[in-house]
Amino acid sequence: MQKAAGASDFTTPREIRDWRSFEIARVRRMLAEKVRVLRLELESEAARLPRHDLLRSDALLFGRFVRARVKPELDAAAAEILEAAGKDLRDKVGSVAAAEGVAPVKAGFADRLASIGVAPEVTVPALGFGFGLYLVFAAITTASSWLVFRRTNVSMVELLAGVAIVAGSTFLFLTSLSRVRTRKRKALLRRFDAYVDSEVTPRNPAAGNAALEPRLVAAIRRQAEELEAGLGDA
Amino acid sequence: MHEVLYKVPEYLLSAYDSGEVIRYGAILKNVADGRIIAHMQETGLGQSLASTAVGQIQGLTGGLSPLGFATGAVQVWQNEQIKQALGVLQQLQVANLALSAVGIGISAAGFAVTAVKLDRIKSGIEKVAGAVGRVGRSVDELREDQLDRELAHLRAACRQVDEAWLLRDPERQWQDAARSLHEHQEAFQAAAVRQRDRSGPSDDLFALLVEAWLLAAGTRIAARLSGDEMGAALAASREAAGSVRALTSMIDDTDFLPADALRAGDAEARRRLAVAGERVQAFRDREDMVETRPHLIRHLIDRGISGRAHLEAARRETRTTALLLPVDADASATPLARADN
Repeated sequence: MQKAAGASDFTTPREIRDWRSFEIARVRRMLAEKVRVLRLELESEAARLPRHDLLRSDALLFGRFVRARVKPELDAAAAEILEAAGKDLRDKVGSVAAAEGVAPVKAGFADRLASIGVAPEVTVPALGFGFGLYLVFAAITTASSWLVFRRTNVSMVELLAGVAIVAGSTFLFLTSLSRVRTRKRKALLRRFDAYVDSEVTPRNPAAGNAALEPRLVAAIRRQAEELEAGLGDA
Repeated sequence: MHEVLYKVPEYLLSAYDSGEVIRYGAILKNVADGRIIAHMQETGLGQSLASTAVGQIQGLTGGLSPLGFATGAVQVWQNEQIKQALGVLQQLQVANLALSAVGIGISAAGFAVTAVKLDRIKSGIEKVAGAVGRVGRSVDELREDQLDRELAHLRAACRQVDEAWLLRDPERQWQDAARSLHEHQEAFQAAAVRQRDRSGPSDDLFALLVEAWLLAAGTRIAARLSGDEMGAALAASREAAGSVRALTSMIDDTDFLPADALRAGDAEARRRLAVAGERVQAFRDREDMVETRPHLIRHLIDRGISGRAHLEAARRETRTTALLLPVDADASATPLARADN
């Protein structure tokens, strides 16, 4: 039933329609599976982002992921689909390259520093060193304040407020990495879903005719129509 | 000379089993050169057997599915007695289609059988309407009333076609019925297209409207053929073939799945696609039957066979559930079960 497109051994419209239905299902299933795996990869990669990447913008990180993983994978999948479907169909689709679909990149904090010559690989250790100094300073000032405040006119309430501020900021500093990482992961996945919806497999096919899947499906449909027309009235 | 086979000859059956000959709709084709070997034509016996089975299936499934009785039918056809009785229909795996509104070849169903099919469509529509929520209820009730009226008119027109066989001068009645059926055919087609565009091809009401359209189109062609209006019958059958292409031929397996159903993992996607594929095949079977009907009418015209005589013979046939009309010398060369009509 699943013959190569353009093969002259289709003898009935039914065979062509079954072929078309099979090919479209194959395209959609393959792309859906590819998207599912890429999303898992992105999720896993986002959970392991190097510290200096946490200072980069989501758009830049996502653009890097699209160029490094998504686009090559989707282009390979599209080529594989067309390879199996036959030359006629390849000619119809033309270029099957998946769009990069990345909006103009908004620079993150690290990129702004990089633009003035400070590499993120330097920024992150420098910031870490700064936070460390802050913690040491905070510990020393808190302990000494506790010891000497009775001899000053600082009230207990003011001291406790100061300690709370230092404790709060210390907590925020210490958990900042995991919080930023979680936020980045969510942002990257959001971008990925939007990218898939606009460039690969749109949820509303009418709104995304330029996406990869509708282009492949339209080419298969065109091919099937031509094959049916070629059968004539037989 | 009108050659008719009452059962599938052994050599044809073995060629069919080996894949050298395939069934496409109501024709048997030689795979190697694409030649048509024989046309299939349902008989009165086939239709009444199918009608009896409908009762059993309704009892088995306790419900009605828009595209026939896929599950129930399989259970009924597994009954050895029924298998034997179905004969040609069973051998060529078209027993399920005998239950549907499309029929095999030209409709040879009497009104009793047509009424069963119409009842199935009507109760299916009632079931779908009953499932509609309160939102937009008044609109749905309005549409349900319109569909009820349209089905009642279709029933009356089908009765007229059947009744005309009892008249001394039936031609006029067949002409009137064909005109009326043409209007109902158009109405059901428009309603089906609207429903497909609104709710997608997986919608149950769409499948029921297609069934109603098939019944109207098939009975119209039978009316034209009964009146020996061979040219008009051929034109009507070609028109129906064009319409079925516009109506259902673009439907694919994935149209029966929600947008994100394939993202649930590959194994799950394959399972869902297999289920969807079964529903699409029901549409495909109907398309094939409609698209091969012009070939049968063309065959009758080429052989100078009267449409009325052909249908009369099919309706009165009580020995077999389907007739085979061989096209070339090879098919009729077998001495097996050959008869001249």
